[in-house]
Amino acid sequence: MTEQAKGCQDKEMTFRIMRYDPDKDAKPYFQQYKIKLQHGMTILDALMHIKETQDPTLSYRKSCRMGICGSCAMQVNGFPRLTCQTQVTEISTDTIEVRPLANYPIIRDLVPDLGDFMARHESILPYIIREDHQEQNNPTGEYSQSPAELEEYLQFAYCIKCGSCLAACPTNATDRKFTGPQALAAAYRYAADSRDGGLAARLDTLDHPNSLFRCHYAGACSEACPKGVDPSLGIQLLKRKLFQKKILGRGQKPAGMAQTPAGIGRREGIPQAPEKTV
Amino acid sequence: MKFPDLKSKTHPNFKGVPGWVWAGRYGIERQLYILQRMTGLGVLLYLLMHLIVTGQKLDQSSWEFVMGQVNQGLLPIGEFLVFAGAVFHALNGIRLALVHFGFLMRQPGRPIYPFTVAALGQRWAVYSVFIATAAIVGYGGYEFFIVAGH
Repeated sequence: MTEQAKGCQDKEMTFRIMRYDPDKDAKPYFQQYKIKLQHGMTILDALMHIKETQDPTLSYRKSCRMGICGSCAMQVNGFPRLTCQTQVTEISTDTIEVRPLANYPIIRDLVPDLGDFMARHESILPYIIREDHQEQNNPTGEYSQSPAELEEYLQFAYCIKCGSCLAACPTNATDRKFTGPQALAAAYRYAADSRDGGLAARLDTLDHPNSLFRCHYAGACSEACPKGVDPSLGIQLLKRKLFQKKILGRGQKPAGMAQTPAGIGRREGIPQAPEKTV
Repeated sequence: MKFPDLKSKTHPNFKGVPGWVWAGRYGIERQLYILQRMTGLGVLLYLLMHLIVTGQKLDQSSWEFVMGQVNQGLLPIGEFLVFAGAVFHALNGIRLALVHFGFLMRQPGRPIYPFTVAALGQRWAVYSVFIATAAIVGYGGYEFFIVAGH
């Protein structure tokens, strides 16, 4: 073990954690816990350590512990972070304050209610929309897409729906009906997809005062995003798409089916694709 | 059979107005978001006061009396702050109008760690707003305080 790791091992940290039990408490309050820091300990590790050794009633949400599922996003010293990706030593204070994500109702302790957040995501039709419903529901092949077309939206497809962007958004703090950076960036993700033909339908879902133009570009969502999705960029590009569609009347024709090259046989030793299951 | 209500009781955790007034450790665009709103509200408040004062049916002596009152104490400084706020609001508004349609920003790219934000592409516009505001407000201050002697 290195000297630095030994130094970490001995350090005592104070965690100031927001607690709330809807059956007992009228409003949330803070409770302090002291733990010995271990080398490589994340905020989520610290919460699990507190639950295992000091207070089994502490509630939080977690799953993958590797920054993929997005369950463990919380406010750490006032900033939304994935707690499984945040080392305790990254935080330069001796007392670390952990709250549930801001701008979401609290179910219990550090568990936010993401029901409304998911409903907003669902509202923008987050899937490829095609005119040929028969082909969409029973695909006979792939839609064609070039690598350059993929780059148009790929960044926004990395969203893990952790909800950090809405906790950071100042507009969302005052407007509870705001569609929010996650859903708007997701709307751009599908609007920019060359295979999609549902731009008009998707823009119709955003045609209300608490939607696209309620974003006044504070950029906080992009700073808070733990996956580098940059929702504020997606929102501004979606505004441009809306302008092009509604004012200039420009739209895109969705990509057609990829053509199987003719006259090419299967090489020896390569097995046939399995039978379709759906 | 009556099913129990499974909807959980929750505590509203919305930040409300403090959520946009306090930017904490966020970046410069977040701070400018506050300043743009504050200066907008300030200019709007001044416009309302201005309409009330100039909308009065006053004879010449009463008008001169009112003008004498608004030129006393700290009111000229307040008036100059409205001018400074209006200049910043207008210039930053031009930047925002361009940014709102995706101009000045970096284009989408693969998120590779350490992540960056497209807002960095328009930072030069942010600094240009600061420089232009300082130049115009500085010249205005010279005219207002030195030449006109307020």
